[in-house]
Amino acid sequence: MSKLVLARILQGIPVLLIVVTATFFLVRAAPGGPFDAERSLPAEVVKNLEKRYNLDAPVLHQYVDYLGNLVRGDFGPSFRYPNRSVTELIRTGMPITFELAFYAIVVAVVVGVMSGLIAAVRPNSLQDYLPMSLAMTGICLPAFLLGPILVLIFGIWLEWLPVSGWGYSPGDKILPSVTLGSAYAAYIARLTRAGMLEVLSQDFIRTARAKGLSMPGVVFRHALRGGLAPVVAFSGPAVAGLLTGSFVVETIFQIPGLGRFYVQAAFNRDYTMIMGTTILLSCLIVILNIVVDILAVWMNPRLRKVR
Amino acid sequence: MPENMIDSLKSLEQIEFEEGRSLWNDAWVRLKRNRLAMFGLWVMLFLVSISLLTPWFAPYGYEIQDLELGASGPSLAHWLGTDTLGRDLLTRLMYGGRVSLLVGFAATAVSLAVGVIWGIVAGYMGGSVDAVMMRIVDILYALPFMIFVILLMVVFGQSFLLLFLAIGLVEWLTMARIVRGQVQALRRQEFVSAAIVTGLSSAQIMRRHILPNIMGPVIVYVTLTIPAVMLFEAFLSFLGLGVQPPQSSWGVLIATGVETMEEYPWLLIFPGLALSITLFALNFLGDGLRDALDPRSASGAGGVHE
Amino acid sequence: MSSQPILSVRNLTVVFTIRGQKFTAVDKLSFDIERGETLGIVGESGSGKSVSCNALLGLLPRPQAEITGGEAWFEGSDLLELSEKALRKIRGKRISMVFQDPMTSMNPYIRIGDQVMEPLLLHSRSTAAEAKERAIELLDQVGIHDAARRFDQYPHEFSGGMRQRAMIAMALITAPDILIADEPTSALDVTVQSQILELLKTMQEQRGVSLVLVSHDLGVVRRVTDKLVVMDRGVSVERGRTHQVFTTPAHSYTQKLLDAIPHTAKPETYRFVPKDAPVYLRAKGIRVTFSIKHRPFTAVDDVSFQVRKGEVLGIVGESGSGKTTLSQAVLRLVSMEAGEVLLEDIGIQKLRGAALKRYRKQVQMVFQDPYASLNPRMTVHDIIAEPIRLHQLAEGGRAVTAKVIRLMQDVGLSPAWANKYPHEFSGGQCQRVAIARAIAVEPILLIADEPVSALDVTIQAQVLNLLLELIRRKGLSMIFISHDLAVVRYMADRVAVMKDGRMIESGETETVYASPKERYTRELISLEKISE
Repeated sequence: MSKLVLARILQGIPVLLIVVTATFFLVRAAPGGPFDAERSLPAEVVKNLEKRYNLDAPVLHQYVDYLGNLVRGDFGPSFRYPNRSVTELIRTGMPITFELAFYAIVVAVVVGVMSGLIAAVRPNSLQDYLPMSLAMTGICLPAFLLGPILVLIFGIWLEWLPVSGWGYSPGDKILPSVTLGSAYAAYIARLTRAGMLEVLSQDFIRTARAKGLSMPGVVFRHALRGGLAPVVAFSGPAVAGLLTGSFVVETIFQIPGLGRFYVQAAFNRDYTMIMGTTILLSCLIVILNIVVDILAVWMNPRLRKVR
Repeated sequence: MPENMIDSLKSLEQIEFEEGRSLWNDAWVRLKRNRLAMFGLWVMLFLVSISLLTPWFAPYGYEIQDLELGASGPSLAHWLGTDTLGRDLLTRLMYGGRVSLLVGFAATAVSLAVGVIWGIVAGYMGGSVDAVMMRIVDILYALPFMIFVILLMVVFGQSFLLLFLAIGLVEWLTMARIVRGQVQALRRQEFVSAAIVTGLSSAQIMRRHILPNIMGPVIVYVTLTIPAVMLFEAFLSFLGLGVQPPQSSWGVLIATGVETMEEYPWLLIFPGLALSITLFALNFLGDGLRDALDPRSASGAGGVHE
Repeated sequence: MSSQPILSVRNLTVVFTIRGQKFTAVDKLSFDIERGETLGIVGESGSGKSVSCNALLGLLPRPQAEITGGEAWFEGSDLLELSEKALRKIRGKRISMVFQDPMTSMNPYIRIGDQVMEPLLLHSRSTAAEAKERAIELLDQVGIHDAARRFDQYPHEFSGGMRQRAMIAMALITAPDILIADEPTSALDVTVQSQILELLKTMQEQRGVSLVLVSHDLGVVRRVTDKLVVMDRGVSVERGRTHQVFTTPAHSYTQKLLDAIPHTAKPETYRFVPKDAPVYLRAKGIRVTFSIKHRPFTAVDDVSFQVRKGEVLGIVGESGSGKTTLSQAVLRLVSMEAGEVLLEDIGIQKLRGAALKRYRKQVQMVFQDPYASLNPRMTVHDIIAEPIRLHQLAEGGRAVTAKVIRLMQDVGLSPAWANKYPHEFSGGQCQRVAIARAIAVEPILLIADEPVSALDVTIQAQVLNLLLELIRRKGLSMIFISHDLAVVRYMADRVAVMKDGRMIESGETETVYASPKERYTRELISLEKISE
């Protein structure tokens, strides 16, 4: 087991390096420098700026410098807000995005697993069709559509909940969390149902029933662990999706998180900021994927010892 | 020619062959029984034909404005109303749909071509070829591609070609994995051993015995990739990183609709409906196809976008 | 022994609805079982024998299956009328079950010990510590060494036979009145099979449990049961004392079952006459090594044999003995690490292109699984026509079709079915298609790997006789591989016994059968004779 953990972590390192390198050179290869937008700047000023941001050095040199800074947790200064460092911006945005993603995961897992279980226990009945139709709706109503609709209904027409901000007024965290979590709740519901149906059709479930276990006993003691395996496998991609999804949700609800910074930085061509957030989010996703892999192996005794 | 051969040649005329039902026939019968899937199929056929005929069928020109009218609700002249610049929403939806569908189909085609070839070669060759090929897929898989596509769009401008190339190049990974898994399972089947023993070459076996048997899962995955791609395109366009004006897609229309949704909700509702209905149709069709092609599965999960 | 029966089943009827079509899986089944008695229920697949057992405990799949009639009296209550809640108190406590496949019947996520003690915790007031003690004691009794340590292992760490032992311990831990064993040995190797049967018998005698043994294998039933019910397509065609049914079967179906598996030497007419027959195939020192989890594993080790024209060589061995790998090496489906195979004095290892294609035409194969060996997306016509076209054995579409039709007639299939697909056929018919494909290229050597073990017993005999007939008529040689000694004895002129990758004994079939040299061979033959 510990060998597996070590192997997965070691495998992650080259991937992280690829992420950083690809991001760096992609941004460098962009047509037009960061200061092209402001045409009015005199050549001397541009030169000074470039010097300040180390842009006049050879690319390879810049790359090594950047790597060195990264290791120290320094993402460099923001092009857009010259007096603030990217690290500083990230530090203010990250906790908010994490909180949002956490609530969304809670919504997704609780709603998803519950409705998947309810559906799987009685397939092809109303108890199955109702949550599964809702799940399909959740999948076909993406966050950028669901968010505005929820705002329209609960915020503007009914005036029950605030429509923007994060932690400014009571209840303003509800709509964003639901918006971000709903699609994943829907996927998890479908995965749970499918996984449970697969497991419930296996021979060892009949053995469990032949022992005299009740239906809840069979489901929770014998079926749940195997049935949730697809959900665990999905949680890696899901976390990646949630983090990218936060771009949209933070834009809609005007939440000052990482996602909103990223989108703004993209428009402003704030290259250091783009690089910083890309690298940070990518690393997060890579690490979480490793965690999920290890979790999946840990959950399955057959994989645990073999490797 | 030996005598008994001539006999059986003669009897050839007398034999009345019973019609066989191929697995495709069976699947089609099952699919036809699934009303939701058939609804999805009809909706898709309808949307595709509308998109093909848009230049001739659109009620107004794409750029025609009626500035005096401005934004107006649904009426006889403008069935779905007009936008803030007085442009006919139905017309814009039809043109936007062309773009959205095109991105969906083109990106899926890219992933199909690359993924199927990669998967078949890796799965059939096995051994070290397979190991190297799948290792590459694994490494690429670990990369957070969504974010990279966004970065690509930011850095190189929102080029249309780049958009579906980028999305297609993400999706092929899953396709390659699915195909390879199928091929590996098939390779262990005895009918492939039988084909080797018969003396068929590897190319013949792949074409005649492997390819027809992986079509099912491939079709299913294609049907479920198209909506995933369309969703991603709409997502990018919503953020302003995808399709750029004057071109428009449903994602762009939704984004502009959101800005004015308090005053003119139909500008959000109709594009949203168009996208949702299409996603519904494709997902139902994909689910239905999977159930139809695999009689064993009792309608499982899927449509999961990774 | 005329006391009150402990379980009395009357007119049990179960109806399945599949895709809107109803069919009766069990039709008015009746039987009694007394305390301490062993009842066998025998039948082929689809005869309804397992369905009836599952019906008794309410374990049928809903809503496809429905019990439409009958009663099952157990201790004054009708099992079929009991509520789910009342049934749960009987399941696993008073009546427990052992299932066929020990690989899939245990939960892979839960430790063996926890699974074994689960019924006790569920049905009694035992504490976890008491239950554990009892479970270890019982595991020890069913023959699991070092039970205390094994208690904490997972099912995948147990072999098939050990898992079945654990299943039996699990079924007996609550000291039930009735133990229902549904094909408890069918997924196991012959030598293990016999140990498990022995164990079931001992446990039943020691504890005075009533045992219901469901099996397709007459040999198994004969060894263990006091009386039996024979089922055919849902109907019980015969009931009686086991001894009586075997000596004087009353129903024609029972007779057919008894005749199905040949327990005789090879029929005289098909015997090989060695009069200067040339040696076709010569194999010398074959060794095949795989790497499993990066460790080398020798599947076939230094095996040599030869096959003469018109001769049938039988290869017997249990699963994992390397017999299938050996056949794959001869067919060049796996590569050899050492040794050589010569067909008519030409080495096959280095063959390429046209020469390899000629070899493919000379040596053909019939596989075990009749469905998996046919491409599900091709019609029977195309399957049989493929080798004909490839080796240009007929010119033009009509001539190919004519040849296909002749081949279908040869193997006893109606040519009218040529346009049908494999899934529309039964297993036996599919195996005939596979045989037709193999003989389509007019080979000189046919390799058959367990060609009948996936088929029902009554079908097995038909396919075996078809093979014998084709061999004689076309003058073929054959390598016949099977785990079943009786079948090999019926088919083969010479027999070779494999164990752990080595060929431990070979010779004329009847000679080996009459006076085996190796202990392992003796064991196989004695097991074989018990079930005869």
